[in-house]
Amino acid sequence: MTERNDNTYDERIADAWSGVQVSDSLKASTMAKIRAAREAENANVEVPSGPSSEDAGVSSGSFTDIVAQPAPSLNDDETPSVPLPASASGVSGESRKNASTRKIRSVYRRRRLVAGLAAALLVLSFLGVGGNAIYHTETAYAQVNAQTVVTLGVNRFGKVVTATAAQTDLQDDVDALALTGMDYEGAMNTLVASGLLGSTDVNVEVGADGTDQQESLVETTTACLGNAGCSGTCNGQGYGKRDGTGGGMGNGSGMGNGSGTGNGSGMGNGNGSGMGNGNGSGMGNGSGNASASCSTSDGNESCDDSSGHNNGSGNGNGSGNGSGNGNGGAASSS
Amino acid sequence: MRSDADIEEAIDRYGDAVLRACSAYLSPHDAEDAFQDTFLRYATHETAFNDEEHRKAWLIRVAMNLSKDHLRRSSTKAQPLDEAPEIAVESEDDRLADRMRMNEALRQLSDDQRLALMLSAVEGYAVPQIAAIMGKPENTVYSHITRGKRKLRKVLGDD
Repeated sequence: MTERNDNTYDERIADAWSGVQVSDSLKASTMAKIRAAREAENANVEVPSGPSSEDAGVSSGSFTDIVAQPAPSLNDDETPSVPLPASASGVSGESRKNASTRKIRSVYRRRRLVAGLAAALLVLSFLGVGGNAIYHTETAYAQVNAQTVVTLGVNRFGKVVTATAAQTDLQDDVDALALTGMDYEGAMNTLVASGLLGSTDVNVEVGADGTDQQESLVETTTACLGNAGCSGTCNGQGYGKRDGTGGGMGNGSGMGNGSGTGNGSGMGNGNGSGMGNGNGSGMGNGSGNASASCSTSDGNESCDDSSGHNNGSGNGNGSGNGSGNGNGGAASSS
Repeated sequence: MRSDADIEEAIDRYGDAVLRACSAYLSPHDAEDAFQDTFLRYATHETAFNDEEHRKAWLIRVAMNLSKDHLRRSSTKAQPLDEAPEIAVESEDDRLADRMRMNEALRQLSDDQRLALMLSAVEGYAVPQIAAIMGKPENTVYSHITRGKRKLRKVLGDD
């Protein structure tokens, strides 16, 4: 039944294709094109044939040979694996053309590979830059207050990324401890044990973007101080205290005075002229300050995470003027 | 280069099959271009063939590859058979109506399905021969034919 249906379909399919036939005009135009190509070849001009080299996929052998030779597909960018017999196309230099095609495809493959690698490198570089930026972003700090004041900046991974001495002349000593890159606990232990603080009475202010990290740092600091036999406290201050920044602006204008005089004399008819110049200068002062409002409410860790306040003021006065007069008068002749 | 007589004889014998192979991929106009290029290749192909079947298979294979080349260059998808003048015949005749429906259905197949069905139903090739011409595994060709017919049935409402 199915076979009969298939046969019926075959007949219908064949019937559908039956209208596709070579017309006399197509045959004539084909022959004309071939003759033109032949003449062009005789005139030693390149034959204007189709650009394909795909007929290389067809050998002069039997069906078995054809089966053994993979045909290029629409999506196949690879060079046909079947070498072109020198006589397969009848077009002189075909094998050279085939080699050229292989070379071109090889170049395309290489370009795709390079493009892929470039894209991968680009992604990796973005990840690298982004990761580096995240690593070096400070999310917490610990200000160690003793005779020496050292502030440690800590990132979200608990690593010390900055170590700054308030007394600039001690910065080299702090740098020598190589605290950056250490985890916070190690850095704090190193700092306390170094003797650089100059005192065992150490008070530490800790601030962090997040409460969790702040609590962790306070806990770690307290333990460090205890282990080192230090007295003092560790308070959580909230990150805002340290982060308060501000600026002020002031402006002023100048003041100046000027005067001018002129006089003239004449006889008979007289004329006079006068000029006056004035200039002024002034000074203005401005000042600004920034402060962070942070109130410590109940001891160690309840400091409000407040933001800084910025204040600025400036004033200045100045004015300038100038005037000039000139007079002239006629004198009577004696 | 082959003689005019040889080429004309090949066109007379296998021209229809070559044009159908081109039409499986291309619009009628483009199919004619590919047809001409195929016989231009044939004209410059001086090696003797083993037999007539081999010559026909060679021509169809070249036609198929040139059509694919043409597709690659133009990136314009053909609608084979659609514009064939024979299909536009307006008639109440059942056979013509059925032909039009079948052509419409064939247009909905993939290029490879259409060619495989054409080679099977029209040219009478068996699957191994079609696989040789298309350069595809026999199982793939069998799949093209089976799925192609299944889709035809579905489109034609013969399920």
